[in-house]
Amino acid sequence: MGKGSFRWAVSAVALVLLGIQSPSGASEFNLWDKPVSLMGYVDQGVTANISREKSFDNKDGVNSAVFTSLLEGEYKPAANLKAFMSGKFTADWIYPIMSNNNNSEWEGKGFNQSREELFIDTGWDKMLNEAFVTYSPGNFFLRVGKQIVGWGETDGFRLMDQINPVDNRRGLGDVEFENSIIPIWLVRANYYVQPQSGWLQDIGLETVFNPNVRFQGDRPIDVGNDVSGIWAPDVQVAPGVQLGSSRYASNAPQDWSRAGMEFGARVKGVINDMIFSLNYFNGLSNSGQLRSLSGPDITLAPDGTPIAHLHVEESFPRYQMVGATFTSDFPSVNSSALGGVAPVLRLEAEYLMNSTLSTEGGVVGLPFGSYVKHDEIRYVVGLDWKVKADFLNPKAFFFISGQFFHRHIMDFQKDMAPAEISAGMDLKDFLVNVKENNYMTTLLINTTYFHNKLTPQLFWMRDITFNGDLFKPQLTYDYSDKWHYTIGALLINGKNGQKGFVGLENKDQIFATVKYRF
Amino acid sequence: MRRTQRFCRSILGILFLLAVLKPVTTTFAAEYPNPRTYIPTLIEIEKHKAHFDDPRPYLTTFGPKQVLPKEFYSKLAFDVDAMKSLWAEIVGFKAPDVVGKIAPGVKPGKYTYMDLAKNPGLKKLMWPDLYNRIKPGGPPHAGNIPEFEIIRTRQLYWALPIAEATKKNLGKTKLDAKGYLKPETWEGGVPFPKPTGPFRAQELMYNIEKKTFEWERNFYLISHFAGMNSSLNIDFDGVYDVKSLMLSGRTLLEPYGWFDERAKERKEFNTYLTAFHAPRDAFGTNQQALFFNDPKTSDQLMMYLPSMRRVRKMSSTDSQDPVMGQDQIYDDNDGFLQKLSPDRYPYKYEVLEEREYLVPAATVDGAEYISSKGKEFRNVRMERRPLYVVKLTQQDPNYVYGHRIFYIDAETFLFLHIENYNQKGKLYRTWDGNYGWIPEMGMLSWSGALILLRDHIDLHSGAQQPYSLPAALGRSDVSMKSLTSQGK
Repeated sequence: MGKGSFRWAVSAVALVLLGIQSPSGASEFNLWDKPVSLMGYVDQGVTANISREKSFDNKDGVNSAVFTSLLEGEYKPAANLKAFMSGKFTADWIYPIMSNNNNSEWEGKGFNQSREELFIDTGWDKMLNEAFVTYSPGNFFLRVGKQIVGWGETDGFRLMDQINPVDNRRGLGDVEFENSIIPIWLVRANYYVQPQSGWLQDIGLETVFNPNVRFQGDRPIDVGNDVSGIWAPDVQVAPGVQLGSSRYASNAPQDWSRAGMEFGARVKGVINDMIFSLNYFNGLSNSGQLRSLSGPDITLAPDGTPIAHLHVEESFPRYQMVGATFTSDFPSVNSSALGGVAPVLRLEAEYLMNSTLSTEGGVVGLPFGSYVKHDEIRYVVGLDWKVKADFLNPKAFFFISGQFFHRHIMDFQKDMAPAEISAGMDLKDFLVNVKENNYMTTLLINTTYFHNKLTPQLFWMRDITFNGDLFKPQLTYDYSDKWHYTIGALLINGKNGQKGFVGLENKDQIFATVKYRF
Repeated sequence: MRRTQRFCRSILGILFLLAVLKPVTTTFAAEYPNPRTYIPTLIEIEKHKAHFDDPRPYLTTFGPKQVLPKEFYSKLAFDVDAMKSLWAEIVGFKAPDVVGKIAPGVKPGKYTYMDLAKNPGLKKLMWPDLYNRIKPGGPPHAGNIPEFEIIRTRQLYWALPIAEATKKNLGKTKLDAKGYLKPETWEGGVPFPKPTGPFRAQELMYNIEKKTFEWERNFYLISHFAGMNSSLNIDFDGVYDVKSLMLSGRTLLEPYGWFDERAKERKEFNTYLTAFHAPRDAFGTNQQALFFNDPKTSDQLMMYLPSMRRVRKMSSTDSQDPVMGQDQIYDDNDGFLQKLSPDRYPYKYEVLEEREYLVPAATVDGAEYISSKGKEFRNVRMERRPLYVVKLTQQDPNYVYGHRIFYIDAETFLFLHIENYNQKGKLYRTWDGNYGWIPEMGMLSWSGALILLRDHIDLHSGAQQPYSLPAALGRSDVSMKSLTSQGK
């Protein structure tokens, strides 16, 4: 990021800020006598590490200062035609702040080296967030362009939702879910009918085609302080030797190549007021699978810590699944004492064909030395329920949402030697470890006080398989529809070697965010 | 990859077939103009009437007569004398003939808040909450009325087809032994135009449930909603539109009776789709609701959430939680949307009073406006109206409200003021609204009305002046497709 680019970015932010000084908030105006809506937001967050454990992968005090601004506009030249475009600017001001202060811990652990990756998101494909045209005459719906397609019924667990990759580089703090989805170039065509039937109320065929204009996989939290900054997991390959950034040999498909094209279709409808869908997706895994190519390079961090850099091949194997979703409320299951709200059940299940996984390694040979293919079954059961607890909140309800996730690897032991089976080896998707059966639960509870202005919320994710927990309590104050303030904490613990949440357990932090919508 | 291509081709083939085949399964009222051809945008509406400080009588220059296609307008306009005569016959009176008995010294003319002391009759003529609003604007609530004009009482009536259906179905709509509607007995029109007997209060509430306003709920509405804190600073600046389709008891727009076979088979009452355009976090959110005639059948609610790009099933039983940024719960939607049920949060129903009140008059020209300073309601006209005062006392101590009081116009059966009290008997929320009145159509709507929501415990207010037009919508306008295509 050169100085010229930096000035340009700051100017862009200033323009956005100047543009939002209108007291009337979101602006609407006519272009060629048709309406244009302009809106967006500016968020500034800050995090500080509060871990008692001091380690190579964390730093005392302020850790990040992520700024995100988004300007979006919709133009409707006709009643059934609209164009939408949004531009996003994301920066983490911690890099210039630490650089100006010559922070020795920051530089000693090599966090400053992740500046290239995390300071400012540059490049037109990152700054042009979404850009699509929607044409929807009658029961037909066509959307072409850079967009997000959300399939599925569950929150956080992405089973049907395989189309867009996610960007988790900036961690698990106060990063909005909407901000973590990466829009990609897609053609989406749907056709709906409203049947004259007593049992079938609505049905539509929804299709999506990814022409692979530019291949983009997930952008996960990667290993190495030099690329992931303060979010790099704490992984020691040997006592005192940290795992650093990998030397990737990427097998990602070339832009426009047929190997990267993807297709999905689903039938979604309403049967007896229950929403169902049948899904099919044939594409590439957004999550890269890794295989070791050779022994690691060893470098020294500025503070003298030895860092191992693995040479790995990254592939995005075919991801082919069939799945189904179901959602319904159950009006007969309610209690007036609890507010009389019926729970809503959400189910999502998929069968993956020939899912490609990296292996943890054999008794002999390089770790992560090969791929194996297994069919998989994954499902999530979720239940949303609003309940009233007058002694805690006499004016508003508590929203409780629980989810249970199960991932089962079929024929788990088929590629293993007897010695590996007896040694209890796991398949291993690099840092996210995989057993034959993998279980995870989530729980979200929130309510509101003072005319919906104050929202306390608790999120808890439990990794049953590897005995880890992630807690995220937060408090949001919505001063108005424009100004929002959030404070919260992220608390992570893991208890199973270097698996599950263990790599992130030194990332406990508090965060605060100011958000302005216009 | 080859398999994928084959699959792609198959799907595209199916799509093509679906696109070229006429969707015989889809009903659309093709004989009426497509609402998309005449519905204005918010920008166009606000050219005729700004959100604040605009006294222009915009309904005289931008009302249904000017905006609707001429042929459609003429289908919805009827002989005024015939409507007046028939409705007087149905309800048994004309409003001008039954008012003027309380405080007869209060005459038509212009008044200010300073005249209250000089005219004690005004206090007798207004319900207490309205009387307390007659003052200059100022915290903690919006909607004060510093000056107003009393106009002569008008006869209000419903459109000729509605009146004819009401007359035709007179006595057909039945209540059960507990006073709850037998849903299959209502076929259209006002179910109980002469409420009487031991279940008079319930009959009045069913007149509200089956209210025929907004072209029998076949309408398009767009509104700019302002939420205000106790300092009267705007803390919620929302824009939404509503597409509403009546599915049963249709008398005004074809098809008459049931909208289609599905509505008949499932006893569907009506459906609407609300699209939120502002504030930014709500932009692209759509909500579709489907209501049933039978109170035992749970209503259905789906929502398109733009942040997740998904249609989500919601529980329609989630009806007591405060609506974000507004001063109401879901059950307060449209003023009152709660299902009358003997099992789920049942009420005791009473008529407290039947007498005349001085109320904000239904507007013909839309000259009323909201001032930016003090958030006052200005250009308010008042009119003596015959009213019922109905009290609903909640029998379940777990419901958010302990009782509700409705001030219901005896000629139109629309409520003008609702007081909602919490379980401790403290005034919690109030709803106030005059209506838009289109004499040649015999129609009351939200168009041009000043609607006021007040939260008396959290000291918050909401005010809006919607704009609405009749719309002959089809199923696809209020379906999963619309949820998706109108969404972000």
